[in-house]
Amino acid sequence: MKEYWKDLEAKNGNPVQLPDESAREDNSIFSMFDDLKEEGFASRRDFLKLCGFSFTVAALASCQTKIRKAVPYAVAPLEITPGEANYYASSFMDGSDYCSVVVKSREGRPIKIEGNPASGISMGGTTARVQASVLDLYDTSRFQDPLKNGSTAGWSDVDAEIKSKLAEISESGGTIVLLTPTIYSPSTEAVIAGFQGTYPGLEWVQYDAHSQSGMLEANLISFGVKALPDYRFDKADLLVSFGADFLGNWISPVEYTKQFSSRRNPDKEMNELIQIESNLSLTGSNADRRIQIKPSEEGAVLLNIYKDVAKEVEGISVAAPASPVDISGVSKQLLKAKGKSLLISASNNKDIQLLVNEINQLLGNIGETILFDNYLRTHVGLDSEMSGLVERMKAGEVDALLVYDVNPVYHWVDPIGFAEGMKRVGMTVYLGTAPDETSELAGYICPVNHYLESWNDAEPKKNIFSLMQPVIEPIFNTRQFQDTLLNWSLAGAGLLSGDEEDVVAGFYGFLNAYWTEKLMPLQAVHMNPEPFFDHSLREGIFEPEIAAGLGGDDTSGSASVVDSGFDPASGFDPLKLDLGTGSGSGALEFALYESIAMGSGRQANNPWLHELPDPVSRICWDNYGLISPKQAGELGVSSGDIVEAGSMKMPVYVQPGQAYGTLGLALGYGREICGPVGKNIGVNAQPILRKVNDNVLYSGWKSDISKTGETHLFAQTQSHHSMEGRALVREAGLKAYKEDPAAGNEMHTHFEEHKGSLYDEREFPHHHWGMAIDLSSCTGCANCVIACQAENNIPVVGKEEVSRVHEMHWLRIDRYFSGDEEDPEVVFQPVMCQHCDNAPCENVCPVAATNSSSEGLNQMVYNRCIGTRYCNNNCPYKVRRFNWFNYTEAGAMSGNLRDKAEMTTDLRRMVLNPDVTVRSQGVIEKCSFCIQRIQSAKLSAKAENRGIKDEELQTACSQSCPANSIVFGDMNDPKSEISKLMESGRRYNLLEEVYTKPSVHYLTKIRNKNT
Amino acid sequence: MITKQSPGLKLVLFCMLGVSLVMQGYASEGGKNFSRMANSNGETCVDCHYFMESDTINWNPSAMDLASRAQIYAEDGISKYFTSPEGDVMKKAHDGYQISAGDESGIIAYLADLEGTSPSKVKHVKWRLILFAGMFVLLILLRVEKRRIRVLPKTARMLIRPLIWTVILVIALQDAVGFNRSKNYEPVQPIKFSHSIHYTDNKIDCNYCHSGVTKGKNAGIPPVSLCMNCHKHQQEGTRTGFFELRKIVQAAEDSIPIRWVRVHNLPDFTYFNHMQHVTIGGVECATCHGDVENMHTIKQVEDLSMGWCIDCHDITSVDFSNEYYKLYYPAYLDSLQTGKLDSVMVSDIMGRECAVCHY
Repeated sequence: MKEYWKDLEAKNGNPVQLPDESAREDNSIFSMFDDLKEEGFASRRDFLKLCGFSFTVAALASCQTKIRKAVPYAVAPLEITPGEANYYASSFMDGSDYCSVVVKSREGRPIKIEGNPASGISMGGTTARVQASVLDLYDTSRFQDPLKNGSTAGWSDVDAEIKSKLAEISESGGTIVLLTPTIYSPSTEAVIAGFQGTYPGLEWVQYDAHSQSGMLEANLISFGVKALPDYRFDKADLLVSFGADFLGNWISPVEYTKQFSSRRNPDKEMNELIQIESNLSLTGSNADRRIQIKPSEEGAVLLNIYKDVAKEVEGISVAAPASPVDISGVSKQLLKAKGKSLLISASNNKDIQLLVNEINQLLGNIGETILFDNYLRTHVGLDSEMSGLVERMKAGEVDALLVYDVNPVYHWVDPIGFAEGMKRVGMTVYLGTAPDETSELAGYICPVNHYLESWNDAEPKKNIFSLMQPVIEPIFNTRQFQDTLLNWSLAGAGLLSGDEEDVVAGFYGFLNAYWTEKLMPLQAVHMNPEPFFDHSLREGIFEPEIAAGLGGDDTSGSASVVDSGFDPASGFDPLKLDLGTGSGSGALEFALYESIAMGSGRQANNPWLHELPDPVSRICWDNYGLISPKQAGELGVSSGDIVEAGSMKMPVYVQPGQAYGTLGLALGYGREICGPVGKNIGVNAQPILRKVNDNVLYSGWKSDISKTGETHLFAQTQSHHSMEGRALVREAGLKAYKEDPAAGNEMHTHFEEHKGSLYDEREFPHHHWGMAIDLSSCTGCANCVIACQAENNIPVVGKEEVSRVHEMHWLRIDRYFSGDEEDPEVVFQPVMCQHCDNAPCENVCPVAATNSSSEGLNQMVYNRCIGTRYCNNNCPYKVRRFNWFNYTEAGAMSGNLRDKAEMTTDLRRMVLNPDVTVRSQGVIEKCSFCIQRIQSAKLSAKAENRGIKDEELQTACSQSCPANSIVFGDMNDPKSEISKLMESGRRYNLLEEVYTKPSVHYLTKIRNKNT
Repeated sequence: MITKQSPGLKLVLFCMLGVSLVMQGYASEGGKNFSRMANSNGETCVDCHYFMESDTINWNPSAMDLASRAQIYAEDGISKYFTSPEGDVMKKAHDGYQISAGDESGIIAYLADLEGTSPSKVKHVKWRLILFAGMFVLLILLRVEKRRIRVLPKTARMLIRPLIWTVILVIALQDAVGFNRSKNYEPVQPIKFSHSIHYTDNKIDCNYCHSGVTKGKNAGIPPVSLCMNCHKHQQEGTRTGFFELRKIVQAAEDSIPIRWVRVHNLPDFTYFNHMQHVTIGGVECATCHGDVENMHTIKQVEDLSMGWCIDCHDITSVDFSNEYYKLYYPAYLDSLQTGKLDSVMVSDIMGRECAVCHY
């Protein structure tokens, strides 16, 4: 059996450190009497006081039964049946992040985001950030009214003033600039065109928080298209990725994860992933082979591959410097998989992307795995345009700046320059949802709706459309961006047919008219506008089948004509490329990345995301400098030490697998102006960014590093529950699997043969619910963790509580390392309540608050629980969570509230799922297999006089899994997917040697390796 | 009032209210008139427009109800209700009243004073509480008797003391079991809506208003818009005249929902689904809600305790004609068909399992 180790302390044989005595003291219930802590221990009298207090509170609370009101609708909406959920298809759009979703709404309030299986792009998957976006709707820090110079103003006043100023500037020939993220909504593009028509000379600059400018420029040279291609990871047998975290954050992660994982089934043709990177990313963790490089070495490595490929394909010999790392075999493998491989790079250096294009062209991948028929429209921002804008702003050449939904004072490479420039602009208008660094400097704030309050459409890929629909009336006095622009435009501006009625109907009417005129002709099913629009709205998507090249006469109005042919006449000379060898001086190279939870930092006020542990480091509520163990040894630092690098202080975390000589740091943290939850959490990595050849470079800048002697406390969730030395995760190479499907899982047969129990075998004759998790395809992306949190009303406990091992997630993803600590292999394992048939927790509960159902569920009855925590102690999987404090303000006793993230405010509580009990202090909770969904499926089956269909029953975690790794169903139904997986040779149970007989099954991880 | 069960608080409030009513009432001339003026039957204003809720429904608007319209009266006066009463009920009641301009303004001013208060409930003597407290007093007396007086024979003392403790414990136990349960809860509703009139007299099906009952979790309380389906045409009640129905009409016009007092409450940790019981289980409304067809004010007749739920699950048989049960409970189906079993009870098919209701 392979040896797995969980962290460096364990690997080096040091005992896992328990929290010290002072921390434990702090754990005691007496910490509510803060002043008593000075004496060290609470006395017997304090205990009696506490008892007396609790009895009094209980007695007082019990005397009163609140009179509850029942308030029906005045006029009931037709589609709402109180108590029943409605589902609406919509689109998640946050900057360049796109996902087609289905929104679950209860009595008109959205409470959960699900994936939309109808979408050809996201295919029913979501990311953790998409799941968490519903909580942003109920963000208490959102703008509630239009503001003028910081004070509340009415819409009509603000509109009138801005309109007259815009008209004035426009007439006098001044410059008005509209700064937006990439707009890939065709109807919004039309609105902006109309706005430009109203104010001639208005310039529109699109800018992406995480720039893909280098690739756009390179593609314009190589392919004549200023767009990102439509990558087909599912068609590639071999993937070589230079730092592109396409399973985590790179461009369109849900789509890529769906495509990638569709090829991770060892029974079918498995793909192979070679990741060449500095930080141990999520994609790198899933790679079959991982090669560590410094960011500055990327060019040289690529050049070597180019040399080999060019020599083989075209017979040209190119002089290339010796490769700094061992990349033996990569070129050979690429050549072997010609036309079925894919080479990508996350670099924003245009020349590197040119080289990547050239290699892909030589390998024949263009038109195979890299397509341009449905090119991506989600990134069009060019850094040079933004640089130009900043220069002109600084020179005082811009008279009015309208900023929509971007935060350049935080995200732009030169935030101080942008802020200075903004101060020199005559009129600044900010259109966004919540305060940020940019809105702070704006004269007018015109608050926009959250996406769940808005109408919109999207064309994330050419000719693949989707619709966004509001599922709730705007909560505050906000107005969506398009309506605001229409208001500021001349009546009928931008309209296609100039219908006056559409002006009255606002953007909704505009959108409707746009779809009727431009998109309806692309299909032949619906001949009338209403059915066409309603059908598209119901599906959430509209994906017409259009022959390549036709392009529906260019509906976008802005993109250039598609020409997917590679242009050999671009004068490509590999030796003239500036491959960026890193500049500055120092021992370490910065390698900045976006974390899975926080991304670019746009959702910084979201407590769910802050409390989501990073898949690899397992740390939440922080960002940190990542250094390799070797480097840490040389520097004499250990995890938690604060260092100074690049003129900023940051805590370091010693990360196995981090490339030696690099310092990883997550972007998106250290927000200074943001709601109370995300304010000043972590360090702001943006000041480290530099520009090269007019493109923002995220990595490669050198810096010295020095120890400061200060230390920092991390809230890390993994070292708490050590399960070492046992075959929790089982894995094998593909070759071994082909020879024996039970490879790596040999002990399963052994345990099956030696099983035995004092108890009688339980029978589950009716249903027997079960879950199977395929560790081969699971990428560890943590979408399920947030999906579970949203579905099951799981509280947020805050950093301090997480560091005291009080985190509440019902579903955690364990991460194990194996092999060399400098270059480990990584496995992820989602663990939730295993719903054991012989559950150890049940035997020890003194009040029978947890017991088995006849359908194989381990039930947890909150109202019976008295909080002894015996069950938690006796659970071998450590999946039970205890409500140490009043996190939710539920229950009879008030006080003792620990709400670090404002989750008990009336607004935030709107996100709660009414079908799931909000747990009060002092009870244990755990995964219920989403029993509310099981019961609901059973009920509809009974109502429709039929059995349960396998596909209708999905838990929150399985529904939106972008890798389709989690399968839930009835193990008694021989036709169900779970029953088929039960037969697999890869199937095993966690800790099956203790014979708990879990209902959760794991399938061994198969790596595409020749072992 | 904010509580259902706080006798002490209620008593204090009641006394305060009473005192203030008396003070206000007799201080103003309007108040005097309000309790003195009589119609042809010799009934004074307060005889109908009561200050105190009675145990049986009083169909007339209370004095406080009238007070809520004091503003309107101040503008329009109230003499028109005597000269040209709105509808039959008022006509009969106001017949024979004489009201002068002085009386009118006095009464209006008096009603304006009352605005914002609400009628008090009839106070019942809490015999149970007195008995409970009395037992403790008896215990003390017994002790005093034992120490100082010593007239009772020892055997009597030995008998009385356990008897007292038995009473105390029985009351304590019963109250503890019934704690937070609201059997017989019958709060005053904002509108004098009678299920009896609607269901029994006018033959409106339960489903017409509580349409959610077959569709999902909540039976639902009808929106005002649904009331208006009928009350657009029927704006005068046989018992309440125009007064109560005007509340509905007004709510519909202003689109303001009516804030009913919720009678049947389940704890938040209990999931209950009407559709499961009514559509699939075929349970009659009356099984849980009692004789609603004869209720003028809605009253909780069962204690809605878990024991009560489970007891019903134990004795209610499952309809095995449903394909779902046939599919997943073949053994039971077989036993039923071969006659081994008469019926399968709900508790045989998970009806006693925790997570059916608690999650």
